Amino acid sequence: MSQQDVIETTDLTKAYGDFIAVDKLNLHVGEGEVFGFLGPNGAGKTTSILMLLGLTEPTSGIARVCGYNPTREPLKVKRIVGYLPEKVGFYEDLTAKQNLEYTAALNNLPRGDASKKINELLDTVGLSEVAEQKVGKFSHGMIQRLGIADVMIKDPKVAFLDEPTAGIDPEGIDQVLTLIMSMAKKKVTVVLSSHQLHQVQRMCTRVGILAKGHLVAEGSVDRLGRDAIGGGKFRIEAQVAQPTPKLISSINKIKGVINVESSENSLLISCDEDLRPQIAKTIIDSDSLLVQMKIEEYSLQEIYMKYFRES
Amino acid sequence: MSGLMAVFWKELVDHLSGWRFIILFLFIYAAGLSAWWIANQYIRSEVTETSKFIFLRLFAVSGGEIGSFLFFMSILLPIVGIVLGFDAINSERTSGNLSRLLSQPVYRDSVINGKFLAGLVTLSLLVMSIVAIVAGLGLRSIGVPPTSEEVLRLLSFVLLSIIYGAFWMSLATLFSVFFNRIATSALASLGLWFFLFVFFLFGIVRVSPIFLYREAVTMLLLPRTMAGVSVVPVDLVFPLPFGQSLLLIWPQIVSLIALAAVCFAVSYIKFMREEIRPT
Amino acid sequence: MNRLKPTCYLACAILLLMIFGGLITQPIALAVSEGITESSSPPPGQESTPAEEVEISCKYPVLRNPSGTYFVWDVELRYKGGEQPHYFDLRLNAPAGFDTAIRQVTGEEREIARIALDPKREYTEMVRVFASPFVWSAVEPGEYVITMEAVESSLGELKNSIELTAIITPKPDLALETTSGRLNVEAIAGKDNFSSIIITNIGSAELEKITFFSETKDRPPGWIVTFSPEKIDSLPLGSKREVEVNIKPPQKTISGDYMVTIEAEPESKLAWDMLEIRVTVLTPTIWGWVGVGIVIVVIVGLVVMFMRLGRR
Repeated sequence: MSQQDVIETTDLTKAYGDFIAVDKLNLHVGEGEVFGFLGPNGAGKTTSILMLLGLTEPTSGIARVCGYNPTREPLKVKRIVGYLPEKVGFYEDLTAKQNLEYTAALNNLPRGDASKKINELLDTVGLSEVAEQKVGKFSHGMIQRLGIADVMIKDPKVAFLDEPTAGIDPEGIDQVLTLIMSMAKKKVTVVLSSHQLHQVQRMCTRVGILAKGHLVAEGSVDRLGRDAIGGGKFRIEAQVAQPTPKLISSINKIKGVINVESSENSLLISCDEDLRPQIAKTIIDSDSLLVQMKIEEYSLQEIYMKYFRES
Repeated sequence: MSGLMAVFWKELVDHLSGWRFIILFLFIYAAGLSAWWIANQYIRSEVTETSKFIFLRLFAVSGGEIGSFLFFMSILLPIVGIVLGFDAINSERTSGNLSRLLSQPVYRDSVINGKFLAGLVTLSLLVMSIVAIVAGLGLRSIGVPPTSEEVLRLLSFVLLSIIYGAFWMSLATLFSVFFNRIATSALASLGLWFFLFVFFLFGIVRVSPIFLYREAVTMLLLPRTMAGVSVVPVDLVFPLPFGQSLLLIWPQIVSLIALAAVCFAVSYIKFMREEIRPT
Repeated sequence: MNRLKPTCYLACAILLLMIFGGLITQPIALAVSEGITESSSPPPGQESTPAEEVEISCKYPVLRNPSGTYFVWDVELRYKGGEQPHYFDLRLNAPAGFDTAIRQVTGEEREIARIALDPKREYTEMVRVFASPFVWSAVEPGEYVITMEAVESSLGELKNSIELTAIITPKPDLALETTSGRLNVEAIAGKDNFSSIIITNIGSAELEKITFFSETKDRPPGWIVTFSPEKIDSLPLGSKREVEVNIKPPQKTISGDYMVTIEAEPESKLAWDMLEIRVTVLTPTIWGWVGVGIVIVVIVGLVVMFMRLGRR
């Protein structure tokens, strides 16, 4: 176990009878990372998180969170780990503040500290105005933000967020994502699961793709993109009237260009960075006519779709 | 003990703040006060010969089979217990609080123990306060103070009533662990209560908790009235001393405690072994 | 014959008419028969021969009663020898202290001062004489003569009288009442509760060796009722005596109302009276306050608990 690995699993397996929910998961998440767990519903994301929390016992394999085995020492793990379950719920008859006070009490926080912290957190998640209102009247987005405050109350080293953006409106998603980013800034290791890839792409330092219990790919979005598509991060499509072989070779020479494919009157250039100015200059210099140019970033969607198709 | 007190206090405050408690409170108090009123009407005609335990009769006299304090308790305590327990676990589950709760650094049994303890304290508050109020009103209305033995018997009665209520609460908790739907567990516990009550009325199921409670409590409060107590010889004329009375109803007490313990143990084990599964 | 025939016809016709009219009442029938047998009746001069007189008689003129009851005589009156009915005034002459009256025997008991007597009637008129002392205690046992007099109203010459004798024998009697006049007292369980009663000799004999006792229905035993003095050796006629009663309910008496009967009887057992007293047993003050205290403590405790723990 390396010093910086906050989460480490070795052949972690969970079977419900014949059904294998998680199959030999080997995972390493370093400190301060925002790790995205990707995969369709039923791929084993939640089960993996539950095993890491010690809420579910693995059938075989070992999990370690900050060096503790969640099965053997669940309390030590739970003390440093925050968990926002999918479809999180709060006590509807209690106010937002009372709900957080209960969590603070469960974490054995002294009352005075807790109260101050709760006020700060409610302010952070933008719920200080409704702090004294009963949670029963909260919208889904408000509940999710309250959930993040609930996770943060114990100053976790690791936060597991299960589908934190599911079922909330775009504005709400934005607020939640901003909050997750701010968590990461506080050196909290965040593991979040999602099937909404755009959002994950925006902030995950690393992702793992789960399909039917297998971890099919793991790494940064860039690297996964390269691995998956076999090209650069960007794909530039340039429409040129009658591209000449000479033009293609000169584009190939531009630093950072990985591959050029030509079709009838368009060029598909994959490259590491946005090289549109250089490419445009090269085309114009070669006296060809540049009709239009489009740039496309490799999306996680594609990577994901590719692995998913494979498995 | 980690988290036990936090769960306990939260649940206790929940009980005391809810409408449910207010309704239970009104129920118990209405029954207790009317039983006191009824006892007041009949107590003088029932105290004929050299009655030894006059004060205790406040809780046992009604001029008939029904209407005495102990009768009301034998009917209402199950309802109190059921109301305090029928949604203990499944409400946490359906509201999405359970996994959040269990991811906090608390032992899992703290959740069920804390809930049970809070229910027990609420139940005790109800029982003790109504017994104290009826005792106070009775002291004022009949003017005969209890002897030390009567106090002892009354305390045993309170304790036994709490155990009896606790049995029903653990039964309801058991259903709340097994049935995910709150309505199902409520119906199951109320159905069982109704079943036992109806059969108790017809005297069919003798080994029902209602019967056990009635036997034991009758022995405590009316040591001379042997009617309905099956294990006691009918020709007992002088009231038994407290210790002897207790010995006589020991089987009933032990059975009640055992029933409560079994129900709680089963729900405890089921809750502890249950895995949190992704929904 | 010619003259007789119509007479016979007339008589027969009248008779028939009478029969068919349904009017054959005794006096009229008698009058008719008189008319028919007119020839056989004695001559009118014979009837006025006996002397006019009014008869007063009584079957039981001397009555003996114990004191405390009244006397009743049935007196028969008959007027003989006169032609016409006459009115007679009726008067009673009684010793001092007696209340007397003459009344009808049946029907409305109207007091009679004058009566009409018809000499032609063969039966007697009956009246009833009542006599009783105004106050029993004021009349000693003994013989008392009451004279009843009947005097013809208009002339006052025709009169008669009868002596009715009332022999009053001595009768012992007594009465009990509370000094206050009320029949309820309050008592505290386990404590002496004094009240007093008055015993009065209302009979016509001295009472000797009067004892008191008490009985209580529907109450547990252990009640102690004592009297002071316990016994009265002699209570002269018409005198009163105050007796102190101590009602002590047992320590463990349930508060409420109890009926206590107090009885008094002389040795002779010829007189007896009883008094039903409602005894309200009060809660001993200390236990009343302890009871109220418990209730208040519980309620305050519950309120405090709700304030501190309730979330409202």
